[in-house]
Amino acid sequence: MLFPTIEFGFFFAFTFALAWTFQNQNLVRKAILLGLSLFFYASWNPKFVLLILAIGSISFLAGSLADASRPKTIRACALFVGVCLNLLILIYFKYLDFIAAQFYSLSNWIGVPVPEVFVDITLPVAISFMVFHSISYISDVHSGKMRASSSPLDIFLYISFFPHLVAGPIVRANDFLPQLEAPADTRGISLDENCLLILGGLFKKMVIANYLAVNLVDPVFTDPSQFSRWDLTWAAYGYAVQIYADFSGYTDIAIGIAALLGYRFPQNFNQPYRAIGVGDFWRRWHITLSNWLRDYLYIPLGGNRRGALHTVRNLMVTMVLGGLWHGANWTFLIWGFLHGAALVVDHGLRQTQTVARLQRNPLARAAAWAATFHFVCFAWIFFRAPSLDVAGQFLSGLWTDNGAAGTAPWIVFPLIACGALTQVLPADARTIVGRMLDGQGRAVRIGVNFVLLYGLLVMAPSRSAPFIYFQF
Amino acid sequence: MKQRTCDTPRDWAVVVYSVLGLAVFCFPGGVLDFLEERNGGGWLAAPVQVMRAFDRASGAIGLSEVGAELRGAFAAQFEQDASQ
Repeated sequence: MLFPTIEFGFFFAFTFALAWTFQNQNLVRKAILLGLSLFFYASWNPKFVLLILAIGSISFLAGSLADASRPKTIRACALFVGVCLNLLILIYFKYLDFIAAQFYSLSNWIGVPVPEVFVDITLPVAISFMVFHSISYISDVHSGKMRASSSPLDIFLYISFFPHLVAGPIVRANDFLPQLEAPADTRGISLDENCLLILGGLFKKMVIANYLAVNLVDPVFTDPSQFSRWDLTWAAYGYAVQIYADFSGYTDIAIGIAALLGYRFPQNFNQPYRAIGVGDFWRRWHITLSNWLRDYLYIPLGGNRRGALHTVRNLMVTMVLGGLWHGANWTFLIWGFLHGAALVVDHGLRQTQTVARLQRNPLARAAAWAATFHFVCFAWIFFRAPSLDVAGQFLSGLWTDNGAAGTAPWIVFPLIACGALTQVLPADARTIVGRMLDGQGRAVRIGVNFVLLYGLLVMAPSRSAPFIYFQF
Repeated sequence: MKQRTCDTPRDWAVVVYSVLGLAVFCFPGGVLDFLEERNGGGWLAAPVQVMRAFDRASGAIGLSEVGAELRGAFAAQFEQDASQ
């Protein structure tokens, strides 16, 4: 069940009514939301609901045993077992075939072929996000940042709550679980700001991302050798806009829907293509994943506390694993490696006095922005390419031009301009407009939201492609 | 800034369902097709009848045609088949 579908429209209308009908019976409300979240997930593959229940059970049991009230040894064992079980689930479903393929290639290469046995595992939707939520909860309980929850219902709902279930944002347990303890409330949440967030997210996904994919990015990345340098260049820029519009559109809808049910999610994007430096980019792009990798991987590895060499190692390990998290493919590994190397350079440069002086110079800042943006676009080529061969063809075509004529339709340029506009508009524009609308009468609010939805329905294609991050 | 008018869940519901209802009234075809596709055993007969009434009412005042024409014109700009 995708967000921009009639099916989800019915699902949301039903959920919204039930959730607020039982506003003051918190236990019933949470049970309903859990049931509906499992139904939402079952719409892809009902048997994988068992996987959610398994991850939820691991989280609850390991969390209970890792609580500060337990002896130190038991807490350490609970952390170890809980994290290992989660990682084993992730490795089994996501990486086993990839690891097996590399093993068979290696065995053939060294001349000791072994019979190939592939398990052909179906990758469950959202497995990475479920595992990240679970590890986050167990680790936070173990480190004493929060107490273990005594309610299995809360833990299952935390893991499976449908707005964040499929593609994030990655919500921290110590942010979300306290919200489940008291009845949800509309006070303090702006209806119109969140309606604008949802409508904006739908526009980014259904109009910008969908049409860019169909008209430019998908054809070019299917066979780059048929396209000119002009098309390839615009496809690289187009994909940068597409993936931003697609993923930030999804999280905008997720954050807005959670708010309409009375829960707050963290921000996941902050105009990432305005970044000056790769470090700055990662503070603006998929913020909840960046923070997760920092808190549960980079810092436990030692962070930047043990000298320059260890910092380099930790940055590279974090980013390469972050790349592999997106999928078992060499293209993601290279993408992670490129970002890791860029972060090492960025980290090194920021230690120097010259860079500190240059940061005050507008021309130097503009050059740093251009370098950052083009590096990110370059790395996206590996991220989007289905294989290293295709990435190689793409880069080779940028150099040789392939002798083809430019074919990019005119419509992609206003779409890319729309994507650029999202990066330069004031970050709090939606909040200001939303709060202004909150002060208006019902008719005005209904009218404004309806006109925006009408415009969206006019522009949207009949069927929406899946969100890019569903596969991760 | 003025006091918010929609602080209760009921007020939220009025805005949300009004907007969704108006959208369905302007573009009834999609929802009608959706329900008819799933009405194999006749278990959605009542909602289908309601949506057909919506469709007729929307068509009678020209709303559904305007919406379909606008969608068609926009899809043509994007070289997409609106019927897909």
